[in-house]
Amino acid sequence: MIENHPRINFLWTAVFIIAALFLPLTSADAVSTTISATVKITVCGDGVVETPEECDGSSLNGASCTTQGFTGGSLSCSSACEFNTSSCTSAPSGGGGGGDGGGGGIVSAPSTNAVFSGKAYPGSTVTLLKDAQIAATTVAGADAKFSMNLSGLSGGSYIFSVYSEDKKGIRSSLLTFPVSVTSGTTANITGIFIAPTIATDKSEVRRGDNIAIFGQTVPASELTISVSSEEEFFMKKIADATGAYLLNFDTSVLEMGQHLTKSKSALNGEITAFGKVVGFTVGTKNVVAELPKVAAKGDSNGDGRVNLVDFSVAAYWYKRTNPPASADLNGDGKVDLVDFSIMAFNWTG
Amino acid sequence: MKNFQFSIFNFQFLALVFLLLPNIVFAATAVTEIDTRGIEVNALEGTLVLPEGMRIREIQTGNSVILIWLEKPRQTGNAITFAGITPGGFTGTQPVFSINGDFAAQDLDGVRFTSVSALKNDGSGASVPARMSLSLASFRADSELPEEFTPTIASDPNVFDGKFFLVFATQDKSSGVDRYEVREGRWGFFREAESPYLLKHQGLNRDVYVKATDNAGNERVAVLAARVHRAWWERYGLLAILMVIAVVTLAYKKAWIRFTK
Repeated sequence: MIENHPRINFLWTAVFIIAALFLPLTSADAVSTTISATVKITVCGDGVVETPEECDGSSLNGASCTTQGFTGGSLSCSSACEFNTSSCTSAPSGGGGGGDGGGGGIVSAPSTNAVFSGKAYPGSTVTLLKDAQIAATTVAGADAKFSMNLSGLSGGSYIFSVYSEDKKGIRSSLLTFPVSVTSGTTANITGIFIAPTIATDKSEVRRGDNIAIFGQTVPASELTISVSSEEEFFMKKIADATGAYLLNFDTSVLEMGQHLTKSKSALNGEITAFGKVVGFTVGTKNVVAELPKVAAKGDSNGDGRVNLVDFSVAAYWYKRTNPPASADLNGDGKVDLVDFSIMAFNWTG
Repeated sequence: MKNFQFSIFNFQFLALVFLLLPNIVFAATAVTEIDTRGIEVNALEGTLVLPEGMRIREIQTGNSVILIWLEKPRQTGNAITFAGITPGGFTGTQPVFSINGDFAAQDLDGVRFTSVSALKNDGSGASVPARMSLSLASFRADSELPEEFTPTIASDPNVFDGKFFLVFATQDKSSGVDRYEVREGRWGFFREAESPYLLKHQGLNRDVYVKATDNAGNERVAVLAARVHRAWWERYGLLAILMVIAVVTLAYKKAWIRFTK
């Protein structure tokens, strides 16, 4: 027992030192607990792959050099729980050597790409936004199909958006999808189906008269057109060979006042979300409607686009007094988050 | 008996260490997330209030769901304010920004969010009852440059009295963009700048260089060519002066040699 004393003293000394070091923190912790935060703990180095880790220790989550776009070699995991592809190899891209049996290959890092394909409108221009800025444009074929390649990406999460303009220049709603791209791989995003465009021939219609609701989508697709006020009406139409559709709606079933209409499209089991919403009034007279202005709200410099330049103009007036109407989109006398939300909704890149 | 006593003390020691372990303060990373509760959101602002003693060394916006910052997350005292938009909108639980610093899991209990406003992506500017949270996350190393970008020169009668200004923005998917710097012309120093940036040389006759630096120190420089090309003596002014001096010196030297002969 006596011969144990030095060890016991050492242990208690260690205990007191640790207690003295940590007790102030313990009392500080007792101050307040106010948020209902969900605490998710992911530990890099515990051998368990958890989001957002790519790997952890020897656990590669089923990945290998080949799944990372290489042709061989050994994939490992870095101390930051990210794939280490430094020992991966690519197939020789250069030719073989001469008579001495040489001939090396060029090992290059695989590029990170994304391929987008889907349906818009026949012959329409399709614009792809990468993180809110135009990354590519293409023209859809006569069958409304399009495809776009994007290279030079980094590994990480992107927000991609696509929109299109029909033959009358009416712009679709923005179709947005977040994509997580793994470094050195190609992400294929298929099945993009842009919602139909929509417009009406009258901004105000005399009750009982017809209002024409029209737009463009994929040829031969089935449209569901909604007209809503207190009661919602759904009508079906088939788009013609050019993708155009027209519905003459009898307004005698509608109450006097403001109404909204929107449409969506379906083809071969694929279906779009409802597109843009267009408003019209049922009243006592007929007023011819103008085609929806391209990028009206938020287009402060009038170039037909809502992009970073317009954002900069509004940002200049952010929280300043007496902003111009071009920046104060809701006309409340100040430029705040609401104005930027309206701008973001009308964004074209 | 000896072994038993040793085990008791060992146990007490380990028990105390175990009890105190969660309070150990060490370098940690936590991610701020927004849960939109199924509603599409395109604008977000708020303030993250930190408890006393929670030290933040770095704020990163890499992989953020917010694409364009109105107010980049910045610490003032014990509060971090932020505001930004995501054109096209987003739903679900998404990262907003990360904080690196010296804190423990328990410190996150003392964190609270105030003045949070998330707005619906329908053009109405209506508020959405979104929920913010802060949770520990793993630190991500960053060896990649910020993404390529193209600055733009614009003018607007309502901004900078109609003078030309520069617009720029890019993304860095790992650690996030830390700062931008601008240099007008081939010579000179980069100066830290924010978009929109009022150009000093309104003649637009100089190339404009914009440098984006991420939180890991990786840099990408974008160059915008001058719209108006200057005369050669303006572009190469210094070189021209040096050449003239050299010619004059040479001529003077020859003349002096002749004179002394």
